[in-house]
Amino acid sequence: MIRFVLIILMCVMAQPSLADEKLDYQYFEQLPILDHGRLKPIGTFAKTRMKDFYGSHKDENAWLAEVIFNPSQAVEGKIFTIKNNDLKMRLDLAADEDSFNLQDLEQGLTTTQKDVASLLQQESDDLTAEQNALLKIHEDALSYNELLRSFSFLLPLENDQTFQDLLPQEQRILASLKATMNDKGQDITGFSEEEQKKAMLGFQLQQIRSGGQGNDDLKVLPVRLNGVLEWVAPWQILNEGKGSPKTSELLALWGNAAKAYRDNNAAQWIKATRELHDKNTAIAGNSLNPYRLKAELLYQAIRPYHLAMIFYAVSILLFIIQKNRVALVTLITAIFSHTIAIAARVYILDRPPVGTLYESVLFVSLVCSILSILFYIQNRKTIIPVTGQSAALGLLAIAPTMLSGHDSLELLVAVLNTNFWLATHVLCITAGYGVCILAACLSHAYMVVRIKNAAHPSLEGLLQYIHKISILALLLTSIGTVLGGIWADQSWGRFWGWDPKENGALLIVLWLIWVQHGRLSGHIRPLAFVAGMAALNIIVAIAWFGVNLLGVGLHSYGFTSGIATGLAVFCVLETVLIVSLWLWARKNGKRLHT
Amino acid sequence: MIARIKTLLMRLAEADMVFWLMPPLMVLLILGTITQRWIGLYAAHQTYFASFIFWLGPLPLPGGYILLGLLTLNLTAKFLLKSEWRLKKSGIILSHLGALVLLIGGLITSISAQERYMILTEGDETPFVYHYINRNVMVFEEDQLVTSIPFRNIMRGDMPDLPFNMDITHACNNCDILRREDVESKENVENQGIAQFMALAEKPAEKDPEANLGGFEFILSGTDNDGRYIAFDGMPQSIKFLANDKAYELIFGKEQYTLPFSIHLIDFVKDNYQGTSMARGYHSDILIKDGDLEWETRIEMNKPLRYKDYTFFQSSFDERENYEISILSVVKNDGWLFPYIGTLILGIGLLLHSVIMFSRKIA
Repeated sequence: MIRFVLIILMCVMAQPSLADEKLDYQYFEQLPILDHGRLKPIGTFAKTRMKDFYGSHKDENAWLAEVIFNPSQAVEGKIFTIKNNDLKMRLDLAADEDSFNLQDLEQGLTTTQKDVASLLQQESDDLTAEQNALLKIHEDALSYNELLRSFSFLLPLENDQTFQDLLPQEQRILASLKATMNDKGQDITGFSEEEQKKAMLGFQLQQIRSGGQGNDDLKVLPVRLNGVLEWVAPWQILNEGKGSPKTSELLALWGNAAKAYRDNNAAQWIKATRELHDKNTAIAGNSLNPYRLKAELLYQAIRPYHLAMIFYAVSILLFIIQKNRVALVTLITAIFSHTIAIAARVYILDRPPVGTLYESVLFVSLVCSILSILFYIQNRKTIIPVTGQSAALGLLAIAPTMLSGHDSLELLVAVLNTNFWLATHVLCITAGYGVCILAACLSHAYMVVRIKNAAHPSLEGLLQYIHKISILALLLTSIGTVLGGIWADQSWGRFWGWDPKENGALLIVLWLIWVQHGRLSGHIRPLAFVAGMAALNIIVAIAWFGVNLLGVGLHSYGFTSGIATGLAVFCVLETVLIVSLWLWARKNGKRLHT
Repeated sequence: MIARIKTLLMRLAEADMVFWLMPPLMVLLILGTITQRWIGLYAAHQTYFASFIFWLGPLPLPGGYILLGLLTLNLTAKFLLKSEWRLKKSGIILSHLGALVLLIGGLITSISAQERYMILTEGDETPFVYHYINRNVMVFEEDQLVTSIPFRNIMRGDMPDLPFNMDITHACNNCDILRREDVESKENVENQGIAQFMALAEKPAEKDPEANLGGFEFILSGTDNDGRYIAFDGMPQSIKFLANDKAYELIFGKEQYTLPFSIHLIDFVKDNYQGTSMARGYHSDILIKDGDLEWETRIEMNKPLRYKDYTFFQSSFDERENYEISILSVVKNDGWLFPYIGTLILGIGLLLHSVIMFSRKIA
């Protein structure tokens, strides 16, 4: 397959590297593309693909433009990152390099094709790191190949015409070639100069036509047929005849963009991409909201979570050094950035804010910070925002590990595709997680303060806060849990099925009921109550992420892999920490009494 | 005696009952969850939650019935005997009542709920629903159903009186299908039907009991077609034979029930996100036919249909070359309303309690 692609790329005229004139990608990056079921800006597509192949992204729009408009040049770019040394050895690659181009991989990928076919029959859990890396590089190479050929019919051939230009004559050229071959045989050296040129052209046309078969990755063309809008890839127009009269206008505009890119003509390039942008908007009509695409690009560029994290960190430091007023302003800015980020996701995805594990972490983090600022405004004790912001910061830091791919704006599986339940059960239970984490972190802080000074005047107030927050946590987690039951009753016909995710949520509720009733009945003393509340961190982590690792039950859409070790380490360390703090604080308390 | 009962009830109403009940309940919950990875949800449910006791090695521990039963008693006693009927305590009273309603609803559901499924091909109509797990053998005489024999009776060899002899030689809850020539048989009888080519052997049960392939081998005598037969789930053809000049037919499969109305599937639609095979939603457009009445309606993900004590859910589907099959889950549950009422009461109660708590001044 790789060799085949390289042959096609040899058919087209290689263009020089484009460093002369800086092209402006402002319209190009806004062009819509249907990818993984979602209409997104091509800038996001470029970024995620580059991350898939290379591990990071830089100048992704320029990279994608080169890949689709000048593939002969792009194919030399070292776009694939391989760090696994065993795999490098298996693919016969240089051990001291991590980046490779398609030509470097050609031999290795060809020889490992059979191995890949057998690996695909196995369970992914049974595969080694090297085998997984091998599967990934094959997948990436296929995907990259497809991208390289997306617009192959717009690339100039030997006579400087494109496949598209020659399309009306394709059958005639091939028939003439066939006639010549019937007449003079397969050996091209026996052909006249004119016949040789025709033979070469016919060969190129055949290669490009074959290379376009099944090429449907780059769905950038809106086609309205019988009133229904469909997004299709360029080759689908040629292969399946999906176009309409407006489609040929669009293809002509893509042709202009390709030519402007290859000529490195900045003025023509910006004109062509702007026209493409306007044409897409006109054809797609109400089905395309260009502001949503712009919002997504802005969201990707600003990275508001990173801003929020910086502001959270600064506000914690300012609170610690008692610059409370500045700290409060910084904290409000952090919460503003955080809220804007979540609101932007709601606007871009047109659904409630929490539908994936990643989004739940973002939301829980916001709950922690908003509650802590509210409590701070009420009682002016800096320990609360310091604790709450630390929790929020920690959660934002681990959020990216919950992503299943490089695009954080994901679609929802059918059962989750309901705005009512996402806006009620999911928000309620995740807000409950947030409150639990805040209560747990405050409990840690309580024990630390008590260790430093068992007679500290703020201890009693803090204890009362923890108790109040525990009631709020019980309210949200129990209502969230039973609302989940009602959703399950609506979706699957049973309120409660002892599914791991349901049991996890119930475990939090039972734990809260236990510590509260133990405190009420006098079986759990205040310090033990605080330690019990601190342990909520572990219970929540298990209920939130741990039960997914079991891989059973109806909530299979929330499964994640690769977090088991992190979770286990967290649970062990947290247990050791809580027990140590509790023992130490108890010892200090006893000493005070004595 | 009354004094003793009163003392017992007062003891049951104490808050520390919850304190003592919660740890074993949490242990039960954790064990019943973790073991699902190895034994599946159904077996874990039966072992831990739908049981009076379970065994942790040699140690008997209270199962879900005992613990949830005690919790229900505790909540009832607390609600009736220990509630402080003051506005300040209204949140606590209501939240305990809400939890009690949820537990009572759970009890009614566990006693009364029936969960079945219906398979509908586009254009087909049926009043039949099937049990997810239980199987039976239906015996027809001249096309009339004369008896149904539960598979659990067949497993025990407990057969009713029939107009012919049917000796069960082997039954397996989850069968492996072997080639007949690879199996040695003690009985020297002629193999009939697909028993000429296939034999059954027991294999370990699947985690999901629905995935088990139930089946059995039997020897018919006193008929015109005596010999060894086999029957198993999904067998393409029924077993037909003659006895005493009458035509008999045996059909083995999931237990079948008849609804008091029938359902016609007009169309099943799997709506994918454009350009992917990932479903955005599923729905079945159906026609309900109940006597002289008939009307069209739609069942879709998260939007079930409730009719005559039955609730229909879009549960699964199968796509064939030219048509689609919709699988609906059909539930009859007398306690379905309890969670809704319980949730409402619990929500109001906890909200009230939170408001009361947060309105108190902090020291």
